[in-house]
Amino acid sequence: MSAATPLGDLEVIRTGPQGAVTAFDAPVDDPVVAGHYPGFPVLPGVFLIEAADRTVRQWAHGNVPARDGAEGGEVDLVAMDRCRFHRPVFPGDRVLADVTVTDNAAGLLFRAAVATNRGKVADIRLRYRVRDGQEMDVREAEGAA
Amino acid sequence: MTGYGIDRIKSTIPHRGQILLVDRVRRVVPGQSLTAVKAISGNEPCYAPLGQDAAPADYAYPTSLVVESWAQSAVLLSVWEAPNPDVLAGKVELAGSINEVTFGARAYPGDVLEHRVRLVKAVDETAILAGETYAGSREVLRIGAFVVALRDVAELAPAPERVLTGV
Repeated sequence: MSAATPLGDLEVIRTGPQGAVTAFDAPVDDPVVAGHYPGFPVLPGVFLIEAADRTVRQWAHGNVPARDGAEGGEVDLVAMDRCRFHRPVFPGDRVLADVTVTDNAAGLLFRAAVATNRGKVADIRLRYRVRDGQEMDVREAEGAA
Repeated sequence: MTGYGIDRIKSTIPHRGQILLVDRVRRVVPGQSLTAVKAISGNEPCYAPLGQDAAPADYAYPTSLVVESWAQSAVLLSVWEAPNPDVLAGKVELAGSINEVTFGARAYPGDVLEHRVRLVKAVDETAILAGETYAGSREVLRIGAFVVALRDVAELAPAPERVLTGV
């Protein structure tokens, strides 16, 4: 499983029953930061959401049980209750995404603290459901449009 | 074609190249609402790493880029009448927060995302916006509150030399 993504590889720093930490270097000579913005390159904030989401999905592979015959550990993002950006991330910054499970009752709830060496850059809360049928996305893709 | 094309978009917001994720503004009521579209294509960079063995679901357009595309539509509405196409000449648009977001259907190459944006509140150089994204009749995204602020480049730079480099 490797879904489409605008962000390169994440390095897994730590993983355990309560969550995981991953890291990546904000790209320096990437066309994305060249266009965001010309003369003042900053990493688009949504890339921090992308990093947190991928950290959760990687973690889920080994930590979320399978359901209804679906492949084990597949989860789908259903909500972002909150996302607060504290300061911009610049090209070359080392970014750490520290993701913790905070609740297992009403679906899977995660708290992500994203930081660089200058401090906290984002706080994100994401909610997931365990995927119970692999064909769901495909049916949606072929539905009335 | 009705509405406003890339020319008007690029003379309004500073996003360029791969990360400019709005193709056309269909309707705008300045200070109130805006509808914009973005066509998803299989040749976009996010699909480049996918190999021959990729499953159909792997081609779901990244959720983060749907949010970015909607957010650029939101910024278009907030600065429509006071364009800010060059961050070095003007100010830089930075997202403060994105709250109460729900994700619905996924979108795929061939889909056209339709972003609907409403201005909830604008105070000084901060705006709060809300809205939805549809792919045809499918709801892809719903955003309760997006807060965006215009800030001076100089107050954001991490080190003095970066300001000099940029200017």
